[in-house]
Amino acid sequence: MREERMSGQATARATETAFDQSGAAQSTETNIQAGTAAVVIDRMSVIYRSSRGPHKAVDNASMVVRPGEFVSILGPSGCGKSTLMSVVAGLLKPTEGTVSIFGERAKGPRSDVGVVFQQATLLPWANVTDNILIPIKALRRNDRDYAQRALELLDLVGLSQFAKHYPGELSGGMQQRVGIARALIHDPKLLLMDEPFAALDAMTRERMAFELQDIWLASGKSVLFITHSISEAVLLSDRILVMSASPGRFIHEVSIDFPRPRTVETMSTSAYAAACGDIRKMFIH
Amino acid sequence: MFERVSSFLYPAITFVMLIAAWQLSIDVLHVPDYILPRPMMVLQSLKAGYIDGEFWPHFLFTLRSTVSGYMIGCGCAIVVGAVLAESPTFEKFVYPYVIALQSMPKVALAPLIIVWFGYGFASKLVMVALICFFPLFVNTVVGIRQTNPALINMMKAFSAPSWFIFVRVKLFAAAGHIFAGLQISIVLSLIGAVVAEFVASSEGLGWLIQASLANFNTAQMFAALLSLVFIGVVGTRVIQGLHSRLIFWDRSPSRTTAAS
Repeated sequence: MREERMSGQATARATETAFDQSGAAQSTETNIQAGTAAVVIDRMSVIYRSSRGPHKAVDNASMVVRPGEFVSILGPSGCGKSTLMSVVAGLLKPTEGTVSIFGERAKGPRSDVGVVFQQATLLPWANVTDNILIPIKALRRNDRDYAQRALELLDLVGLSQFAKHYPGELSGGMQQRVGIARALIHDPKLLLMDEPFAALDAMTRERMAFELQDIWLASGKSVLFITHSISEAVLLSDRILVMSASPGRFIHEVSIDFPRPRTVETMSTSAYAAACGDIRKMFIH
Repeated sequence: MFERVSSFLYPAITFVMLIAAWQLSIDVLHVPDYILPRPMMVLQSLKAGYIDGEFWPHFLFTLRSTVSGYMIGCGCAIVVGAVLAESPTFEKFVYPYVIALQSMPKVALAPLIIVWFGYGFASKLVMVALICFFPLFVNTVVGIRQTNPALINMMKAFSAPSWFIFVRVKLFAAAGHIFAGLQISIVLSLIGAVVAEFVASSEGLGWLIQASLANFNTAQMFAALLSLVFIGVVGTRVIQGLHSRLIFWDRSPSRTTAAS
């Protein structure tokens, strides 16, 4: 395994690790032994079979999300990162390899995982509060026990005034905030976010990223975040896993250790620009 | 305000012009009464029918068979449609027959239904239910199938069992299509009732039209037709009202799946 350090300012430092296939498997192996990791993906491949023959969406991917860690998977469109997310969410079975969540082999959707999707996917016929309570109803828990928590989450995402509004009355950014509150209502230990801001305009998108950082810092949850925005990944992540296009495999791992909370000022430091630039070079040779 | 007034006023102007043209064409072309009655004669027939009361039993008979047949047919359509949409196995068993039945003109079954269910109310009810069934059935299946897969995926990711997804997502997602089907079925249910009465009956507005033929009482035919129009319009309005009240989240114009 080759490791190289990139110098930055005293407060900001990024570490990049480039690894080959065997190295990736090796690094995962040690973490499986730890057993406490939020997510362990071990040599996982997903092959779709279609009339035009098999298509390998994810190729021999291995990775770890440690408890409380914010990990991003960064890759171009169609690189299999959403497929990978579906497997972790328990919606799809891997063709090869295994996925473990909090030390247990993943067999299906879990009640200690919350998912935020690319589209807000709110029920148009339910008001904001009822939408937030969907996971509670789906898990057949008593939603009255969670009414207070729903209010707190509404406050957290800044939508207290919209508790009884319907999704059609909200902007795209507000809808996605409801989606985030919904993913947190059952107090999951792991949050999966599949390009949650991709459908938003650039300005809303940046603001939402900062809001997400605040929410994450307040909740202390493990987050697996999928994005194709380099800047977003650098801003939010403790670690970034860079994925290559079809078939999707991890080609780089970058540690980002700018201090938290990261601010607009962080984004204008040269170290931030350098980190973004280094990742950009991984895609544009 | 202008919107409201014009929505009443403009059709009223059309109505007056139509009546005037009707009356005028009779006067100018000297059309005999038994071919085209004067508007006044139709009005008299309506008065004799509803104020003096001869029409009421027929009106109520047709209304009763239409409404109860409609409810039974639509109820079955939603239930069977939901089961078929949810169960691919069930679909494989019945689908070819559904297609075959759908392409058959249901009114052609009327004589057979009379043989099986008699001359009275039961045969009318069955005919109406049968003819109502298919468009709503098809719309229910299509409506449930076109549920946004992202919503279903979201529900699954939150560990929702499939019955929960069906009740909380698919039925709501299909509601627009179901109402469009209910709309089509209203009109078809009247066709069913009238056809069954044509074939064999001793009551009903359809029978009244048939009976008027014996003495070329076209004014009475018109009066009965207007009564049928009244039932159809009121029924359509009720469904439209329910639609806009219940399906408040979907403001797109109701999509209809043509089927009859």
